Amino acid sequence: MKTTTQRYSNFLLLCFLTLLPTAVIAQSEIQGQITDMSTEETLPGVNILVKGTTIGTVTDVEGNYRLSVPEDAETLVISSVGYTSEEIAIDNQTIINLALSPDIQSLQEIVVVGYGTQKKEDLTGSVISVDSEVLNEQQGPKVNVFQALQGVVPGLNISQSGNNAAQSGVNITIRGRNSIKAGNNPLIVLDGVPYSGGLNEIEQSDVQSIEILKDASAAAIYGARGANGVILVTTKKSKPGEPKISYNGSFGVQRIANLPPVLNGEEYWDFATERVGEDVVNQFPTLVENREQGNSTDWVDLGTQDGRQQKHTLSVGGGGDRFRYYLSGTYTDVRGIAVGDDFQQIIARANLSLDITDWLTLSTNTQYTHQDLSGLSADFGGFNGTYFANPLTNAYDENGELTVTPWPEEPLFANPLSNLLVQDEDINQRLFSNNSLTINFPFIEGLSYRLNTGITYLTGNQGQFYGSNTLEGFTNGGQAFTSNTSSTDWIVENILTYQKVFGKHSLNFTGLYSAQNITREQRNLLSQRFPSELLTWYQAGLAEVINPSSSYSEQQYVSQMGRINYNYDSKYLLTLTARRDGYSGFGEDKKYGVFPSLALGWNASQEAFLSDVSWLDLLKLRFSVGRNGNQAIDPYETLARLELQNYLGGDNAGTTAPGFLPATLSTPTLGWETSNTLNAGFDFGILAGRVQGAIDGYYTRTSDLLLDRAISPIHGITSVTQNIGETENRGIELYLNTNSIQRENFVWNTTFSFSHNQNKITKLYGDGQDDVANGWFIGRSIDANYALVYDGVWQTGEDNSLQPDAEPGDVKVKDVDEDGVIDANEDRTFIGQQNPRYTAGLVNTFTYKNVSLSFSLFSQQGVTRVNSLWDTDVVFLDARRNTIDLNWWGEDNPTNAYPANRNNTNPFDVRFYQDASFVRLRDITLAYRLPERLLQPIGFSQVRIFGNIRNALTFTDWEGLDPELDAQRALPLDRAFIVGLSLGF
Amino acid sequence: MNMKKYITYLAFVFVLVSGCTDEFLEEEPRDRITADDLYTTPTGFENGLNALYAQVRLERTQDGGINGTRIYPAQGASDAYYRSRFGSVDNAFVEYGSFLNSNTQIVSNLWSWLYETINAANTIVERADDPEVTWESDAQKNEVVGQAKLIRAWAYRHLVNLWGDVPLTLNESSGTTIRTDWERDPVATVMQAMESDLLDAEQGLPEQQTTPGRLSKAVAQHYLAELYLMMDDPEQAAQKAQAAIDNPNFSLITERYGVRAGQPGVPFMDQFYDGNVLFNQGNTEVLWALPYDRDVLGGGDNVMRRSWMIRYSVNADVSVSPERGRGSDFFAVTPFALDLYEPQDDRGSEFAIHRYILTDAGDTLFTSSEGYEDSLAIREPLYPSTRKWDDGDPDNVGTNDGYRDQPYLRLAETYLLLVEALHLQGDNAGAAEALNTVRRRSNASEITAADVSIDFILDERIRELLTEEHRRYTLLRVNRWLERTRAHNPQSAPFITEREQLLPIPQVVIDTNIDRVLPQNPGYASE
Repeated sequence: MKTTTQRYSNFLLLCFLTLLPTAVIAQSEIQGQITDMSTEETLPGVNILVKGTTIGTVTDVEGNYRLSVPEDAETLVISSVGYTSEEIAIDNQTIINLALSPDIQSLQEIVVVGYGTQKKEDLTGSVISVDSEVLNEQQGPKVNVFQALQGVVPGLNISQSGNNAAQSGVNITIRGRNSIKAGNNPLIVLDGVPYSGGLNEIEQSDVQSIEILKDASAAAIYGARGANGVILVTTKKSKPGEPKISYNGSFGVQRIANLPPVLNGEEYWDFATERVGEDVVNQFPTLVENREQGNSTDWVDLGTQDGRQQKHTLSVGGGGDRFRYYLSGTYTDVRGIAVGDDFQQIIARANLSLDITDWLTLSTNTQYTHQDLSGLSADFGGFNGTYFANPLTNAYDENGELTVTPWPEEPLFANPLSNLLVQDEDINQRLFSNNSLTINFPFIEGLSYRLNTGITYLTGNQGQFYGSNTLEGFTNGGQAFTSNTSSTDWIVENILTYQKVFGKHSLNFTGLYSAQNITREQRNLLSQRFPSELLTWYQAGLAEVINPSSSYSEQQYVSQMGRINYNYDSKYLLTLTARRDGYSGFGEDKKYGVFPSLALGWNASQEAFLSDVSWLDLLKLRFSVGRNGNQAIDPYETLARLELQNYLGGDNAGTTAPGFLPATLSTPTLGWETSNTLNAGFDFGILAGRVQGAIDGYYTRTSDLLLDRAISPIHGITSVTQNIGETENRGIELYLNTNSIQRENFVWNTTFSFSHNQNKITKLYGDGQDDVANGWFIGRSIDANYALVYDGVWQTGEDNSLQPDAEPGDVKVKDVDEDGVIDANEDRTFIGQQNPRYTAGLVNTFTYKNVSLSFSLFSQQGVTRVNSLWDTDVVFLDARRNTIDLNWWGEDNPTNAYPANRNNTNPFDVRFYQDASFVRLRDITLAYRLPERLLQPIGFSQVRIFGNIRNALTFTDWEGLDPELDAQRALPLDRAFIVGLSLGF
Repeated sequence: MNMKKYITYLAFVFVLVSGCTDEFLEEEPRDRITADDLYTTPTGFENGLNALYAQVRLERTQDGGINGTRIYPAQGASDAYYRSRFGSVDNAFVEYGSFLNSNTQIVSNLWSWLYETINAANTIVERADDPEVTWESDAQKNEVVGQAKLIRAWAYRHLVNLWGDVPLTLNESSGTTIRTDWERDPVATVMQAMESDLLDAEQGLPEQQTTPGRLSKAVAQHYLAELYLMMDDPEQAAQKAQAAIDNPNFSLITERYGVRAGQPGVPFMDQFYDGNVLFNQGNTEVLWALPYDRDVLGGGDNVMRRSWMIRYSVNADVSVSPERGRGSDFFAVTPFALDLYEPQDDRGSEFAIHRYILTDAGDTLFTSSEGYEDSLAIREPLYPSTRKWDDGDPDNVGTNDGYRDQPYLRLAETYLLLVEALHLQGDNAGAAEALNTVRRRSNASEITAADVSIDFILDERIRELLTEEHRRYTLLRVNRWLERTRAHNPQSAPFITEREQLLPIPQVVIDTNIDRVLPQNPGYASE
């Protein structure tokens, strides 16, 4: 490729920079029009610059420009994002028209990095960029945009821990876990500002790109918050031009993907009578009666339904010479597969940018979210959950109303569906506004200053009323709960950028000084016993019991950061960064941390000796080393705190006597966790863009781990948080994008990602001892399972001298240490780990003419987890709770799969560990794009119709609800069928 | 050009942000309190004491890992108490064996709760000596410290009775002094510390309670009497018991009084009725009362009624009575214990024990323990249970928790400690007279010196203190637990061994003691 001219690091600046006309005595004027070589459309917003000067302009809406140039000007540099830059000799021409060729090499992309942008070519860190096309066209519409990234980016692990309508149960980790106790979630930066809002509030179709900063060098500029990696989300900005209106809409239905075999009434009766005898079960008239009448309640079925989701986004973008705008609004409405679980959300976004003068630009990226989480869903996994609820009890009474107590003789069991009768209003509103003022100092070329201010204001209001038709309401004479949350988060960043090119040397400096404050306040009011139920939660004043509580927290940050990017001839690249972070939550003696990094890159393919290798487009080697922090300490956590433990006082012991009990120990030296990371990798491109990829290997050593160290209960307090312990984390990642077939009518594109990650604990308390109480073992994975091993079932007549108390049908415990005795401690051993050893993703897209088909596969391998559905002795000793169909041992069924159906077959509480690996056909999308000739008559620029199936198929050996979910007595995952339409005007 | 202006502006912004960083990072919690803030004034110490009292009151709540009260391991299995129905009590305390091991949740929860109480008491005792604290008088300070020390001794009493040798700690825990080398101190050492605490409490506490639910001197004397019995010093035990008995503020309830004085009943039971329990409600017998209130913050709750009452509402045509409340019968009294009452004994009367229940139609259903002597079957819903913890809520008949005031320690038990102390000194005549004082008010027959024996005293304790006393502690003190439980508790008789006289040290205590091996109690597996 040809050399490209220097670009300014700031994306905004690059696009819209205009330069001060300088008073020059001798001038001539050049004008012309810039077009796209392939589409022949005119191009607005193209930079025209006289080489070696600051004289330049940008093209207008029609792609035209007019520029006064000094007499001695020789060359024009014409550049635009997404196009190959050109240099044109002026040679006394007055009209210069040019067709720019689109930059097909993705290597020429501009990538958002922290506090700026960089040419992908010049990157030294491990950064992966996902653009809006991948997000929106290969993947179906998602309530939570990050669900579209599962298996797409190597090293980025997205997993679903729950399946509520709002899709808030999505966990993100980058390159596995480094921390044992602290959070492992990456820092999310939205349009340059740390974002703490809900992931479901980032609208998929508003996103321009998502960058994942994985290695220390890329993330180190976020210092004490960068150790878990950083995700930069950039929303769409418009280019000058005619208003472009687009609409994206989708509608889908969701069905339960898989359910375990929960017993029905008759099966339950057989199970219970076999387990504890008919006498025990017969003492419950409700069970007997329902059984005699052949009634059975399928609680899980009553708690679930077919879900529905719809999402509509309308956006308009455009602008003129000095003003650009992108406005959008999204409405999301999800009826979850749990009855009563509804989610509605409205997002309004305005991204505006105004060039006040040639050197001063004001811009805002502002989003308002209105989230309605009202309504409670049935209880699935709790004490009164649908899985445990007895099928021979009554969901409805004779009037068709939900029963308060489905089992009148056992009133401790509430109706699993009683949440549906709770009046619940839960509204969150968030304003996220990021405003910046950019000054390009006209007197020093390459120097610019940006004042970035972000403000997030959240208000959450919840009201709940439990009437007498619920157990809580019934036992408390009506119960109301209100909660008001408000939080304010402001950040001020001063960013100074200086860029200089001299000869083949290119230098870029970024400096930062920032301060941030997050204040959160919450007021709750629980009130009980009301004269009537009409006023729901608006009658606390009439309550007999009023229990208010309030909480407050404040977090402060002060940071300084400096970064130098240097490259020689775009061949040899160097990045140096250092950040100093102060955080109020750190212990008194440890308020500040410093986090440096160094990265080197070598664009080998630009060397002369490789220029003859025609099949090699790109070969770049990268190396980085650096330090990051994980600051995960809550405010006030380092102070010795007391907890309320009230008593009664007064003459008749009838008034509150406030009591305080020591609850935590003070920890003045508590600070951040430190991660030192080494990353080596290379990017390659071969066969003229047919194959592109990257391979990265990394090694992270994390020390000063924050651990809740179990201390002896003799202290009166059972744990204390300390910076102790170390972990190691290493892994390898492969990213491969191939255009296997690229013909005129048919394109087959494949993206493959593979990650292997393995962590291990290398130090705990410094004395070489494992922490058995916490389940942490030196030399083992953080998530290692350590437990007794299930070794089948004691069979009739078998020699049971290992477990002399055991009867046939009891669980056999493996004698791990082979000492002839089963011991609850000594026979424990390691049974795999809970984090996957490998994950892989494969996205295939086939495009034939106007039809495209994408399917995404995702797999995780090497996961072992407890299947809690198989836990023994969870039905109570008189078998009052329901269970699932299990292969019970019996004299006539001498299986080793599961013990006999009776109590106490498992005195050692052995649990069942299973392989939770799976391969999932996660997304299938079939789309049709209306051809050009049909579009023009109807006045559209784009019409795309698509169908999408989410969670289509899963291959696994796991015998539970779903291998991806933690809880197995929970709301199941769904399979969704979605159709959608995209229109462009 | 305007260069100067820009630079000025830039400098201004930098100064603005950097000016106040040190203060900027200082934390000032507004919604929580720290120890250094609290223990500076007498009011702060009162708040600390309130939490200690609330800790004691937790004895009669459920701890989450067990059905019924958390203190059941102090009561059963024994000659008097056992599991009511299949599954109502964790098998760890029915069949023992491998069910009771170092990982049994109930056991570690008990341990943590007691040491949490001890640390809170240590904090008060230690910080009271801080010269910064503005005490109004030495007496004020001694009363505060006395209460904290008594509750500390109360916690160690549970610990030595349940586990034997336990680590003795008398200092506040702090983040910089975490120990991994605890040792088990001999019971004798722990008892010496208890003696010292109780003697200080005896000195510091007032003759009579000032506020209901608080401690007075008599409680210290009562526990001293018991402690001296444990220490084989019956002479001092008798002195302390006698001192409490001689306190003019306390006497046995011998006449009807209070809220139900006009209704049929017996004096013995009057002291258990809500409205009668507190000393200022006419109760001269209560040494230590636990106050409860449903609708007040800090009102607490308990599961005594639920634990001890048979599920009468499972009978056909019997609804939950608003007066009686709903039973869950986790625990039951053995037929042996129920059969100890003479027919005329008030303590075994229909007012003290549910001898019958009424159907919704008004028919009488009589309860009986007959046929259960050797039976391991479920107690049918017509099995007798105590009425001491009757506790219904007319607003909510099905409620789990109880909210009525309860006596925790009564003078009658002090008399029985005196009996034991006198008997051990050979003064059976004196013992008989003290016994008769207790028996007389309940119309039990008079006994003579010849009747007095350890077994008789143990029987009398059942009669008087049914479901109240920590039965296992009593039996272990006189070394009769194994013998009497085997004789009278067919559920656990086949299973119990010498081992079960002490609980296993929780595994977490052993595992966190990295720098020293903390020996497990005999018979329990450990690493």
